[in-house]
Amino acid sequence: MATGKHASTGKTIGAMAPAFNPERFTDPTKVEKWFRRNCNDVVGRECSVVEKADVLAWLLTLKP
Amino acid sequence: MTSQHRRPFSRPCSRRCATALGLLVAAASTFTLPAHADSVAAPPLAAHQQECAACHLAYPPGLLPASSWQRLMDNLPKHFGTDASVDAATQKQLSAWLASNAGTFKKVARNPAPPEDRISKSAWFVREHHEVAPAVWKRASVGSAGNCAACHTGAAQGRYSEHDVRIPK
Repeated sequence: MATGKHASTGKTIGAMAPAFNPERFTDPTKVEKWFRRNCNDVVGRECSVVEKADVLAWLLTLKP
Repeated sequence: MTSQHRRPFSRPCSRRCATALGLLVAAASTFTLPAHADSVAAPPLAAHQQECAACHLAYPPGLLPASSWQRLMDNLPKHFGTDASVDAATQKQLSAWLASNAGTFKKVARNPAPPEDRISKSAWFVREHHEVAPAVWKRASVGSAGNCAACHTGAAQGRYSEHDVRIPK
């Protein structure tokens, strides 16, 4: 399984899709924290519930 | 071995005994470490690993003065261009831990707050890395001065000694 890498710090980032990384999206606090951070970084605001669901729905389509 | 011999060792160490042991360990460390210590170990904190090391190496608190850590912790939603916000309880816990383990040794104290509160812009950091050519920092395997572990193989364990340096191609 290929791992990602943080663009500036070089830190390894594991797979996002649950099919490749079962630990993903199992801790609601962690999920909300990262949606808050990543949405702020990417779109400059928090994401709506529907937007978060869209991301999850797409990640769930990815299979090995 | 008789019980008479065992007793002194099985007896719980009194406070005075613990202090003496601590001094012995401290003295031993002084002799085995180089003149300026390259180990920046701090009492571990789970939140430090969980929160900080999720994105970058969990930089040792001793590498920045308390004033820098406080500014960084007060501005986590705008952390070097990234939202690194944490919940209030974690923020409080991390801030207290950073404050009590912040750098107090000479090289940090001499230059109280580096530009932008960046470890890599501290005078001591620049001085100690002057032999590293600019092209080396730009290698894909290094990426940035913030990627300590690219060359300092013991960075995650707080070891920054020259003996542990392996500069990647």
